[in-house]
Amino acid sequence: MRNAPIGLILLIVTSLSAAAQSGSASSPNWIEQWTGNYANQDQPGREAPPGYKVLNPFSRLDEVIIPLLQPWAAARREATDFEIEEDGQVCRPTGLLMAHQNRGFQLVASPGRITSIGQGIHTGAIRRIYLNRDHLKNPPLTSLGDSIAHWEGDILVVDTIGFDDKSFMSLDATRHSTELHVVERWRLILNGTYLEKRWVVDDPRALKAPFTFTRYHKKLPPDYRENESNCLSTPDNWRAWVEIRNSAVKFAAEQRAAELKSSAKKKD
Amino acid sequence: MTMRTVIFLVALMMTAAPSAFAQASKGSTPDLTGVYELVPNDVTLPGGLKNAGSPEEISLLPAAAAKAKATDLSLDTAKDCQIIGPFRMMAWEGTKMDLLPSPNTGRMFMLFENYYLGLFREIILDRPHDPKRPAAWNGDSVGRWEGYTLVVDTTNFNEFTWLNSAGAPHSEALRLIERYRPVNGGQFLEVKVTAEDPKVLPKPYTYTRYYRKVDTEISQYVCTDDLVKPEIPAIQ
Repeated sequence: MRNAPIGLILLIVTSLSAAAQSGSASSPNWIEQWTGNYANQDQPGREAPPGYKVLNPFSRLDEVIIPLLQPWAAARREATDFEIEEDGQVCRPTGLLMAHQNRGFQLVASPGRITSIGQGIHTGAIRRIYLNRDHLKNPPLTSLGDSIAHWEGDILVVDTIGFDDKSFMSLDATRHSTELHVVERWRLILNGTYLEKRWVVDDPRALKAPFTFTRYHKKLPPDYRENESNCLSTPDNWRAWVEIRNSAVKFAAEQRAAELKSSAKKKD
Repeated sequence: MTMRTVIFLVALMMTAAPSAFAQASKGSTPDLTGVYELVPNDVTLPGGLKNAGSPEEISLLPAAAAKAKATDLSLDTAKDCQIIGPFRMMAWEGTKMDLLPSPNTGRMFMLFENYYLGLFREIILDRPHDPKRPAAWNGDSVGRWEGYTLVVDTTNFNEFTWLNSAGAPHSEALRLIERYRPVNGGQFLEVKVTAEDPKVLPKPYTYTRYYRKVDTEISQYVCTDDLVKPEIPAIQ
């Protein structure tokens, strides 16, 4: 027994070393290299870095998604009243795809978690990605969903489910269901000066096939700061908006009720 | 080699390889990372620690009091799911927040579960205020460690928030000094908030709140859903 513990020590050392190299949440390497400020994308002068190409840029994503919509989702898109139903119009969280595919963000690490903090569209700005657990069994359905991640070599694979069905996938009211499933593969490129995100989006109820796109975010200096951003800049704007919006919702409901009544009469 | 030696060596190795988070925290300053929720006012913590004071109890100079009296209280931003400012937020019943240090960028984030009332706060550490920044709902916060206490100094607020639900105004001279200190072995966070505004308050006012560190996740809470609910057809 006196000599046996050396094997035990070696085993423990090996285990500790393997854990450190596996790129777990507590690996100092990725925290030092990854956390910090990242610029938004799709702005003039902020396209893909040299040697890389943006696949399906935000401004052209509708062209990719609309042909893939299942008939009901296409009909739902056609019937969407943008002014009433688009989350950004109501200062609700705009959803993962609308809020996080382009906008700038800060990545912050804490034990078992990465937090992506973006400026702007309300609760959609704060995204928590868990590295130490599986998906929740019955996650509350939200615009950002339930995100978990693991490392595959130097790539962080982020898997998200648990979405509500209120958000759009792209600008032109492309609707998804609660079966939306988003997988992102994040990796640092060009000596850590850019973060590449490869997105794969699937929704077996709303889409005939998955679609994909890439985004590149330039790393900004550590002391970079955004100005505070509030969805509606003054209380007066907000209250005026609530009034207008409630009127619009009421009007739309009345219109629909009238249409239903009219169609019922025709059937008689 | 005895078992005692083995244990010592293993302990030594683990000590010699601290986590990145431990490395990130500066010297003897405490690691405040975690989720915290406000302890209710009627609870007394071990050691007799208890919330004291309230934004609702502040005294105002006569001109400010007259302005508050003339204010339409239905215009309270809290009623519209709009930001109420840190002076009210840190004492707001039910407040739950994530404290998240970001050593790489020299700042501390304070992420509120009720994002609509609190937004989030970015506290820049060991740097002076930036006079070029525009006035903001949550002001401009800088922080520094004084021993075991994080001291946060906030100025440059916009004019949209009040100091309490009775419409107490503040001027552009409002300055908040907050002191965050872990107590009872880090199970609780003591928060002392002092408001200074020589145009509104006869003297600085301080209240104290305690937050309990909790092992839970922050959920996505959408305050505005309670205000405006679109009657749109459910998706099939």
